[in-house]
Amino acid sequence: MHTVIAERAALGTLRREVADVITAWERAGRLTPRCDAWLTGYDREFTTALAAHGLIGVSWPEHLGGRALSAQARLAVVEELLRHGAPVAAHWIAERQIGPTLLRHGTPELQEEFLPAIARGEVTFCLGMSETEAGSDLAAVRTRAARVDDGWVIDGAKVWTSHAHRSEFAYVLARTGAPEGADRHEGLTEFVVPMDACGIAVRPIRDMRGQHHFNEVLLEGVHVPDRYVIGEVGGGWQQATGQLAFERGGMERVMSTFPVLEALVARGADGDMRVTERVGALLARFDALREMAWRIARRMDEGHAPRTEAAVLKLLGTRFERDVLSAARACLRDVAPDPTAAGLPGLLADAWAAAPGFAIRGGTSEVLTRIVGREQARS
Amino acid sequence: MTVDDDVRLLREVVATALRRETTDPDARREAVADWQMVRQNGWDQAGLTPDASVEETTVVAEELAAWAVSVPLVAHHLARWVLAQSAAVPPTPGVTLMAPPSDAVVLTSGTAGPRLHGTLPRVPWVGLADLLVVYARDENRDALVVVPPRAPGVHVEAGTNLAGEPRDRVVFEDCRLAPGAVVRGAPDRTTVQLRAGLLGAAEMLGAMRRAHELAVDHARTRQQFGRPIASFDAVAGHLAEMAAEIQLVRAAVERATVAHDVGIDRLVHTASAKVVAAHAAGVVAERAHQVFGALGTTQEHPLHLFTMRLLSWRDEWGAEHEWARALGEYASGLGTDEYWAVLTL
Repeated sequence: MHTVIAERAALGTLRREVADVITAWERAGRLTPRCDAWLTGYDREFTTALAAHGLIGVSWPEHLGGRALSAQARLAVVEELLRHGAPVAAHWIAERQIGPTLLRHGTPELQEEFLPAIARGEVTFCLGMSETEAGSDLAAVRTRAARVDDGWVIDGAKVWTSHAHRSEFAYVLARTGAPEGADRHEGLTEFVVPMDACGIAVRPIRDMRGQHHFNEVLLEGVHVPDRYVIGEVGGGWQQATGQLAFERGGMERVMSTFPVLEALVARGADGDMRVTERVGALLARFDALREMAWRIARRMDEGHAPRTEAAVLKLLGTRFERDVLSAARACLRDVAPDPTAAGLPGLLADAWAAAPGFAIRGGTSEVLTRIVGREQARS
Repeated sequence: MTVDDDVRLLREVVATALRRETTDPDARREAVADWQMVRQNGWDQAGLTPDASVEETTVVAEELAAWAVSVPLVAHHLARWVLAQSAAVPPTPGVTLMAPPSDAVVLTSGTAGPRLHGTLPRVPWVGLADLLVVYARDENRDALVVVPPRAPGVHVEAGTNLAGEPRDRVVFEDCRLAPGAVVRGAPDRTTVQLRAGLLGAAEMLGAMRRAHELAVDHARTRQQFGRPIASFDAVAGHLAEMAAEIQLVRAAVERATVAHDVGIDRLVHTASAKVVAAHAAGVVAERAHQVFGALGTTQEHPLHLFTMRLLSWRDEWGAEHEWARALGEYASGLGTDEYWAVLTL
């Protein structure tokens, strides 16, 4: 176990590289810390700057634009970005799960076509998974992909597709087999779809704060070539659920409200014992959640896809994110959330409006509870 | 996580032996007989050899708690450990137990020699102890003393915690200490408090693990409305919440164990483990009882051996709020940048 700690300590240089890019952005007045920045903080130039320093796809092979570092090394990069509320939304999906999916299931050609471009910050992806009738029940997707001579034709509609309006490509989960049958988990296939393909329409969905990141994506007779199938035709369900460890097992499920936690730690210096106790309780939980995330990364480095551990982390982590806001309400009584204000009041307003999404996006807590429960039934 | 092979073997040995010993989980256990069993198996020595990892002790503490064996393992270990770390100690024949470190006892040195004054409200297993190891305030320093609980000037009032485990009130009233009773070159009180906190968290982990196992078994077999109650979402939800909390505690305890072994950032990670374990103790105790229904509230059923101990242990070896406050003060004192550096090494 001590070697494990030594491994983590060795990532200090990498953390400083990230901190340098962030500091430069702060000095240029281009970085305002915000909650939920990994989802809503969209800045292509920041993406390009990170890419220029080789900080996108660090765990990917070098010939594909990466540094062949571990998943733990990537986690160190992620922690530094999340801590400062850096605007990483543009490349987040591509880096976090599309790249790893292509590495695990894509052909070498597909990997070469996309990974270096993602690592350069030139290609971004949105996630075409959910549909109006298929949210938690993802296997109920109705978007169809029909085989044609030189590829596939896709028809359907996706929803909740963050940043579809400005992504170069979409990952699309579509039905290629029969919906009725022994198992509707069979007959699903994963595709790469260019967002500039003929037949794609994107309609914005504004959130409660008036911000635009969600979209509907309508696909009407969209043709994709054969090479844009990811992995096995009909293997989509297995592959997609394998992605979930990446999607759920990271620190963005714990640190969405981290800027508020730091404000609480700073307030604790005033010496109010009630604040100190509350802050200490939060920090204790943060330490433990962080430890879980590092273990998940280690398991991924060992070649596993720890779905249940990732489900636990997201379940407890998103609850923690909201506990931070409750503590702010109790301990920072002189600071009222104000969507029109800068600084902490604005941060709080953003965070409270984003909070309902924490335990919904990327797998609802209800679904995660079932996953954790099912695992116990098996063991 | 990879676990050191020796420690894994130790866990298996302890668990196997306890499985044999506890053939009747509903029988009332005898503390004296249990402590004999622990000593005969050498488990009281876990973590006491010079280069030993504290993980030997956390594993034994966890397993004993998981098998509902209520003995002074932690108090014994702390006493033996702190004395082994000290420069000069008096002879300590017999069962020697650590009293929970506190600043409520004072050591005065007058013409009549060193004397102890003060009250320790809840000392575990005084009835089994030949000697108590006690921290006392000596002006601005901590002093460590060894004192027999049945000496003149020591008044012991029997008491119990919520789970019925012995927690006696020990009052030192002008208690004259024997020559050499003050230990020289002892570790400071904080060092022992940190080690105690880790072991307390490990005990809670064992008890909550077992409470959860019992609840899962019960929910799978108990049928109502024509099906196992585990098939109802509300019940499955309880089991899942317990499992999640226990995973979190395990991660925290293992991180704290490493911190102790390498001697870096013990306060941060011990406080985290203790606070997270205390919170989980409440969640698991409540939900385990909910799954078991009325059956789990009976004397006859073993569930209370875990749940009531969890509710007691969560505030022993330092209350949850004390540990939270210590961590909060530490972090706020350092400031966010420095604290982040500590967390991320």
